[in-house]
Parts: sequence; C-alpha cells; structure tokens
Amino acid sequence: MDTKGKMMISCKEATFLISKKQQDKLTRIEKIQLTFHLMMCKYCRRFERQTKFITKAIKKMNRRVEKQGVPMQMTDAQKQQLRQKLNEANR
Amino acid sequence: MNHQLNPDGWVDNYADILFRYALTRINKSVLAEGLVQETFLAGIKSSSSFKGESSELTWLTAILKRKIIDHYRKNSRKKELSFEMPDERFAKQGMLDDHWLENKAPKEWQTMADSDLENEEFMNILQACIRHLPEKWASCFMLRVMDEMNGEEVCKELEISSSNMWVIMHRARLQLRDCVEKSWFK
Repeated sequence: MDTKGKMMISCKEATFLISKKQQDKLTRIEKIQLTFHLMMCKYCRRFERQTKFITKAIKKMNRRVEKQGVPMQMTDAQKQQLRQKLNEANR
Repeated sequence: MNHQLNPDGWVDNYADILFRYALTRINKSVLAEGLVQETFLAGIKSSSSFKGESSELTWLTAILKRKIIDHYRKNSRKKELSFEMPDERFAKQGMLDDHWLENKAPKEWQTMADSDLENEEFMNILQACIRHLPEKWASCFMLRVMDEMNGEEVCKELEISSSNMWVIMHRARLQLRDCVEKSWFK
C-alpha cells in the first residue's frame, strides 16, 4: 500500500493501518493519516474498536486451550488407535 | 530437575492437550489428529535428543508446533495477494473511492462487553469464524496474533513477503469482523 504524501486516505487504507497497528508500529505519517481519518469516519472508528476486541479474544483463546474442559477431545477409539501405532513404533 | 520420557503415558497424558493445541491452529479435526500422531512418532524417533531440560509436554509441544508450521507452509500457495485487489466492502469508484459501502460497513455492536470473552458460546463462534478463513490467512493470522510470533519470523516460516503478510492480516480482520458481527452481534 502506498499512501505517501496523501492527507486523505480511504477507508480501505485506514482499515489496513488499523490492522497493522495491532501488531506493529505505524510510521509518523501513517499515524497522522489514520488519526485524521478516524476523526471523520465513524465506520472506521467502529472497525478499530471491534477488531481490537477480536484480537483480545484471540489472545485469550490461546490460554483457553490450555484449560481443561473445552469440548475438543479425541475419542477413545482415536486414542486406542494412536496407542497401537505408538506401540508398533516403539518396539 | 531432569525430566524423563515415558512414551507409554503420552496418549493418556497429552493426546487431548496436543489435539486441542493443533485444532485451535488447524481447521480440520482429522488433520489435527494426524499431526498429534506424527508428533508422538517423531518424539519416539528422536527421543535420544531429549535432554530432560524441559518437561515432556513442552518438548512434545515444540515438535507439534514445527509440524503445524510445516503444514502451513505446504498450504501457503505462491500467489501473492495485493492491497490493490478489489474488496467488495468498499466502493469501487467516484468520490468515495474505497470508502465503506453503507450496507457492508461495521454496524454498532450494542452488546460488546468484556464479559463476552468469558462466554463459552462467543469463543466457540470466534473459533468457527477463524476456521472459515482461507487456510493461508488463518495460519498467518494465528501465528501473529495468537502465538505472537514476530513478523519477520512469520514471513520466513510461511515463505511470504512482508507486504503480503500485511495484506493477509488486513483481509483476515475484515472477514473475521464480518463473521463475528453476523454470528454474534446480530
């Protein structure tokens, strides 16, 4: 994406920067462009709030996986099969 | 403390944990199962390289993580996505070039609250939305956001350029947001 020298960026560009900002630092120019855009655009403000929320949820998901009780388990049959394969390999 | 390997207990002790780990990162249960099996087999094969410095689970998880990344790479096609490719959410021409189309723009999420993050149903919906992403986007997105791997590493592992990575992150976020809105905040 090339927005150099532009004061007004589009929503597509703004959402790109909003996404990038959640992982990385924006350049000074990008920061100004985004701030300016967000002042005028309620949809992109929403997009930022909502995607930040999703990012937060996904980070939480990682910890959730380590918790017990999440209904994502192998069946007993799958485990039995796995045991057999391991036994064969371990012989 | 020096840890020891005990492959006989692996399935009982770790199969579910590793399966969940894989399933959160790979969208198909049968694939996740296969990767867990490969992990155990690789663990037996390379048991001589286990130095006992980390726990069995940490060691096995590291092997699984490698397997997942290898799987991602196999599936990350060479074709690069560019920012310029049109997106149906944004207007195509005129004064409002690339601005939100009214009917595709984010709606207000009236009920958005941190308590959703504790809500099992919400988290399941989010997980399902991630599974609906194209596989390459999901792998890139999960490595960066969930595993907090840095950008350079992700590009190297998936053999994609940095600009392509940012485009993928952008598209993935657009699609995830749509999906969560449709399925939860309707």
